[in-house]
Amino acid sequence: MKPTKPLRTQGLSEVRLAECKAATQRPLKDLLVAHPEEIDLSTIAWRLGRLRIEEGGLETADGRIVVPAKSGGTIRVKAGLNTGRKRFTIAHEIGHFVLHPCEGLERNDTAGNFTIWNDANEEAEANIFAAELLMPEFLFKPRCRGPVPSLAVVETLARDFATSLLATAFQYVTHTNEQVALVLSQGNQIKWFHRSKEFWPWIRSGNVHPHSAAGERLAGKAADTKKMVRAPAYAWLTDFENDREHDIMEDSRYLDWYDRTVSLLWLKDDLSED
Amino acid sequence: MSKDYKKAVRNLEALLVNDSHMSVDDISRELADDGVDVKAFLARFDTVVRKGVQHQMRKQAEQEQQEAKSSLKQIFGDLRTKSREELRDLFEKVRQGLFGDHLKQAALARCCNFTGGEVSETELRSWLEDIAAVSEK
Repeated sequence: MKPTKPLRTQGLSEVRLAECKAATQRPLKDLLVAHPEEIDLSTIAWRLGRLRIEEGGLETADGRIVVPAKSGGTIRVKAGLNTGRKRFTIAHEIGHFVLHPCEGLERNDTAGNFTIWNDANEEAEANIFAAELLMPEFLFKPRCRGPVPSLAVVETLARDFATSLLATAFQYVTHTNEQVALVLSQGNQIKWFHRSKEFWPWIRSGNVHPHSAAGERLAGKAADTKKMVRAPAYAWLTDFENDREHDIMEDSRYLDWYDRTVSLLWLKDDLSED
Repeated sequence: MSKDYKKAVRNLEALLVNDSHMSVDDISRELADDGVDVKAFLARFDTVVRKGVQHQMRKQAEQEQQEAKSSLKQIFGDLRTKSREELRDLFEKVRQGLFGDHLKQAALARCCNFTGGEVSETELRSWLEDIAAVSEK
């Protein structure tokens, strides 16, 4: 069986994607950032638009930005968020300020907004901006090339860049030269996926397949994989429904804060061979 | 390469003060001949300068934020002691323009995403704090 290569994932246009990423260059250059730990969001926010960052005062949202004028305002983040989530939330709000300027900007962002990467709307754009601001390509790309793909590798990157696992995984898939894809499921439903340029098969939509590691975890038959494990190709890929010969690799983990399951898929073996 | 780093530094200093007749490559070569790891030196130099500039930027931002904070007035009084109803009432007054057009504009703009019942008392209070901060701009 030799499946045909599918169209690219639907989402933001390439042009808009590039615009969102390019918008991060000014603040990074302004601050002379050359290492991940030098990405100081407080200084960036202030220098960009006299935005001060406050923690607390939010209960039903993770972040909020109040900017009634072109300069001067407040970014609030919910108290108690871990470092990665806090930084991503702040960067996301900075993204709104930079990408979607308007008089009387006011946004409330909840946890759900951080899982809509592939929706072509402002929240997705702010997420792209945040990921690029926190994990700029010139620093991130060299670090994600080489090691065997796994969520453990992603976790190491997340530690280096002080970012959340989900955001880091998304950026990892964007920049690695491996055949990997990131799949996010909510409950039993596959919500979205993001494929690396090298990952050519199309990913199933609908329910998480019970024969995948994520499906077994959801069914209570197994825990997080904690490493790459073999899963039947038909459990994740379309055009492989009747294929019982090929496997792919899968590393799945449940993210309790988001109430989502994140799965990193890897085509270790060449699926196009008969 | 020479291990006499003191001598190398002296030579480096000498070159730095009188290098008008030499190209960058010539200087680099001569420094290397005298035991200076030019690449490492420049990398360290770059790091020191960058860190210094970043430190200055951070300090300046912190200072400006501190100054901005100290100039804030409590235009709404002490928000910490106000009840939910009082906070709602204040917000309504802001929206009606009783605290000026600038704030009225800001409050109106906020309404586009305002989902009344879902905003807690804490959030309403912090929201008004943020409006108050804007009023001083």
